[in-house]
Amino acid sequence: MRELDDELRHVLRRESPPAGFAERVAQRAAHGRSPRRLTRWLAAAALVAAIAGGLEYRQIVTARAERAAGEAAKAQVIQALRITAGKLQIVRAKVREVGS
Amino acid sequence: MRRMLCATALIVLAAHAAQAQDITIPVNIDRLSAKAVESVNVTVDGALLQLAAKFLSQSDPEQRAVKNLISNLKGVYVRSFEFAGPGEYSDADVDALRAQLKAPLWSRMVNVRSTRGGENVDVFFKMEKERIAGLVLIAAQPQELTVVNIVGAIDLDQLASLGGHFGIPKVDAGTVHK
Amino acid sequence: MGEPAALANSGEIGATAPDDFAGVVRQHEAMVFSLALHFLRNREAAEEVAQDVFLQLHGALATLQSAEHITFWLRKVTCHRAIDYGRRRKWPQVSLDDVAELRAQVSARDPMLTRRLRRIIASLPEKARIVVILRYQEDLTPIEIADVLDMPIATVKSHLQRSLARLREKIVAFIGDVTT
Repeated sequence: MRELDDELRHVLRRESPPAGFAERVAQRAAHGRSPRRLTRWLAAAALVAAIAGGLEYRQIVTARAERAAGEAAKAQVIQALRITAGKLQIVRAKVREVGS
Repeated sequence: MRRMLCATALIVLAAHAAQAQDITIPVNIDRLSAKAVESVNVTVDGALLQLAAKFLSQSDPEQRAVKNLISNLKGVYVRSFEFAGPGEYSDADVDALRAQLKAPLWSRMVNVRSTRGGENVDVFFKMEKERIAGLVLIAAQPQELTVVNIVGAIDLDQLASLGGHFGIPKVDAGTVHK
Repeated sequence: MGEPAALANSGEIGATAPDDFAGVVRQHEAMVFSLALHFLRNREAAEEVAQDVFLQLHGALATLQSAEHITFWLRKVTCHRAIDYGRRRKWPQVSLDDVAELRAQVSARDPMLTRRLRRIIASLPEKARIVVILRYQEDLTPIEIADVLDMPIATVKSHLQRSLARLREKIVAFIGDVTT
């Protein structure tokens, strides 16, 4: 059996839509036809999705950069504490050695 | 065979904090990274420290402990160098740092010397109103030099409580803080 | 209805991006259609969702700032629409393998395993399912998935971990059945 990841990529690989898809979309867009079966509920959901998708793209990029910087800073802090504690441990061992 | 102790000089970087005297790393110490086979450089202060705290989870007990520990800190600085052999840095370099850690602002709380491995460790505290306002560690070994400066109210009990997590060794805070 | 002027004149669109709406559709149709297809497991429903997404894109194109933004926007809107469609329709689960249009799979892969995996993916809760699809169809990182779905990263990782554990467990059980 192949690796699960490999198998999932195969199962979920992109597939082309039926022939003529792009032309059908272009035709509907050109004739200003509203989407089929657009219920009020779907329209509201689409509006939310459009607003969400239309959010300042830069905000997404900025948030991602902040997250990367934050994770890096967090890793550095933990590394610093690790080194500090390690050296204090040496001191402790020496003090104990002297005391014994 | 015992592993050769690396000369670890903890260069205490007294970062600027409130009206504290500035302690700077001599340029020749920073240049040691060019000679080191491995080096660590940590500089996290101000906004970066707050950012790190932001990404420490409040719901995870381990991360919450680190978050609490750094909440009173103003900066964390580490320079650590591991060399291929002895003689890559001089005592004068380390003395230049120690010279900045003078009373009344700084007190050397611990001084450990090892005649066998040539390992020297100094721990300095800066006290303000009878509370620790800064910590400096200098650990000097023939092939390793490490400097740690923590600016702010470091709680050694909290640091000790992190022992066993994140690869942090357990520390008995009571032993150091005499 | 003419082409959105912003798209035709925009210098913001990446150098390789087509400069007409139809071109954008052709560039991204497989991605959009497949997201819907793998989520809904029905080709007719997937085409309906995909068409609606592109019609919505036609109206929003002027607000999108770059080729990257278009891709991000399409993934986000397709996921939302596919989830909404699935909730609304309760589309009957027709096996993709039964549809005649599927191209013949000439490969060394085990078709039974493939079929089994598809069924297991379809049985995942909707949020977990869309996370797995974005991960393995689009090769997105957890951070990128979190941005598309507006979901905390920890939640994304949790969905991935649990889903993969479930997939492994079911596949092991399946293989066990086959070999005995």
